[in-house]
Amino acid sequence: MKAYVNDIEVRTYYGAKVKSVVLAYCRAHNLPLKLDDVEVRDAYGNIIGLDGSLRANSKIYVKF
Amino acid sequence: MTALAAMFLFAACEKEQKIYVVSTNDMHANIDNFPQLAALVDSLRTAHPDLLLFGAGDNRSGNPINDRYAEPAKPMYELMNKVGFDLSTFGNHEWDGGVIALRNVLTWAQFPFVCANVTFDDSLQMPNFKPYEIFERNGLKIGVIGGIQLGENGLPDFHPKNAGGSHFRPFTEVLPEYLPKLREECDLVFLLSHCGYEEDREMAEQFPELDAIFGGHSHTRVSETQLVNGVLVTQAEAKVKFVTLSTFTLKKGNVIDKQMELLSVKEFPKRNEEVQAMVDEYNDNDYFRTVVTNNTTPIDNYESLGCLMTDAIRYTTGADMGFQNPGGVRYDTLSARPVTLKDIFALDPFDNEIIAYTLSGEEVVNMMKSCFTSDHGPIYCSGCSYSFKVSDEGEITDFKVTLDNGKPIDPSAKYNVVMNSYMSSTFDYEHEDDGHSTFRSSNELMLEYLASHPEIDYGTTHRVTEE
Repeated sequence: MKAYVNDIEVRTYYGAKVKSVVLAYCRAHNLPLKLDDVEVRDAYGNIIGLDGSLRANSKIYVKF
Repeated sequence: MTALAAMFLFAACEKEQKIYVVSTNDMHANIDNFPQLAALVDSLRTAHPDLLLFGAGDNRSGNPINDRYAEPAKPMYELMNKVGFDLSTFGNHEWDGGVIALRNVLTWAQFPFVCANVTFDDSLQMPNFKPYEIFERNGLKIGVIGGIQLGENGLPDFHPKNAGGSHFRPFTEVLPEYLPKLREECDLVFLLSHCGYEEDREMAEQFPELDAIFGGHSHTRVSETQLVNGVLVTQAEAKVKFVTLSTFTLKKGNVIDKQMELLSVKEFPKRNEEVQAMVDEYNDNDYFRTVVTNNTTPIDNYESLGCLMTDAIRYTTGADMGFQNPGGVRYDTLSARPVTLKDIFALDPFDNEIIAYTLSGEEVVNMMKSCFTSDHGPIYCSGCSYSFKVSDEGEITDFKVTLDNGKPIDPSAKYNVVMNSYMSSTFDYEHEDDGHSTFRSSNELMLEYLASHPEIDYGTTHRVTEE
């Protein structure tokens, strides 16, 4: 399925959690794969947990 | 009605009335936060004795102390009973133990479950479950309808084999069957939703006759009042870190104000001592010393343990091949001795979900090769073995994969392949199939595998050859 991280499309498996999508984004952009201090927000500005579920085409925003 | 009664009713309607709801969601059996949760709820009940306490699903799954208890998930329900939950809806993880385990949960819970978009086969005789519940507080009626998310396959996010006897319909299709009746009968109408925040917002847009949606599933931390089309939409992240206190003010039968406040459980300065004693007792048990198999030959390397891990995910999913990244194998030795649950969780502390793919042989080989860069070493495998050479320049050459039937992998054939979610996200190779979660974790599959393997013998198992 597709999801968007910082408005960039990320392809991932169906049923992916937030953590998997952020890791896929990190891999694609050669960023470290450590998510200890990452802050993830949804399209409405709410913080979301790394174990949260995502729907296809969800937009999330990460800050490292 | 007597004149006096009519006078009291009129006076009650003239006065502002408040309804308080404390909600949480996706607790995932984080029982260690329950002493603070209980103390916080006790404190709120002192101020608002009639408050309602809701859980928006996924009460279990996430803590082996609870999930692998002698009666799986019972600690969580004993604690929820103790804290005095009034209502819960189902989350997708409520099915993790299958429907019989779900029925046990419904028996233990001293509060009802609501979920309007699921029905069960009559033969299951599911107790303590209904589409909605109506509460009365301060002379007001509060209707609460429950609902759960469905994925593209028409099921919640769980392994389809766990569905047995459960039947689902889209929540938005079911809601119009209940909303008019509840709206007519009740002063407040709420959804207790395990659909995820985005879907909750869409439902608020579609059904403005709702007063509030208390949500779960997406682990969204709604930290201030958000009204969507006039509907309060809220969620308290996950794992009992927070609760939401929502306040509804009514006058003359109309809702004149809705507010919510996110309260930190972790930062609450008090603990309920009785609940603490219960949690201490759950944590102090022999669970991790439970023997799950017997290892007959000493293992002194990561690869052999990787073979065990990949066999477990391959056999239990019925895949053609299973793969494990070397960085995910956290033991390098296992002597010939009984293997305990503690060993299993130490071997694989990440306990990632297992993802299934249909890949061509060429894609499989590219995925395997990508492990050298993505995980800095050769991949561990089941259903095949392979050999390779490393050139003087450090290039991987002569990469040859042989299937268990002795034939070389066919680049154009399709294979069912399983791997963990970390590999799915971090391995860089071209593949057509995006894959799908099995909604089962690696440790869950390992324990299922070992349940049918009372002895294991991996001491001399090697499937990777560097020539």
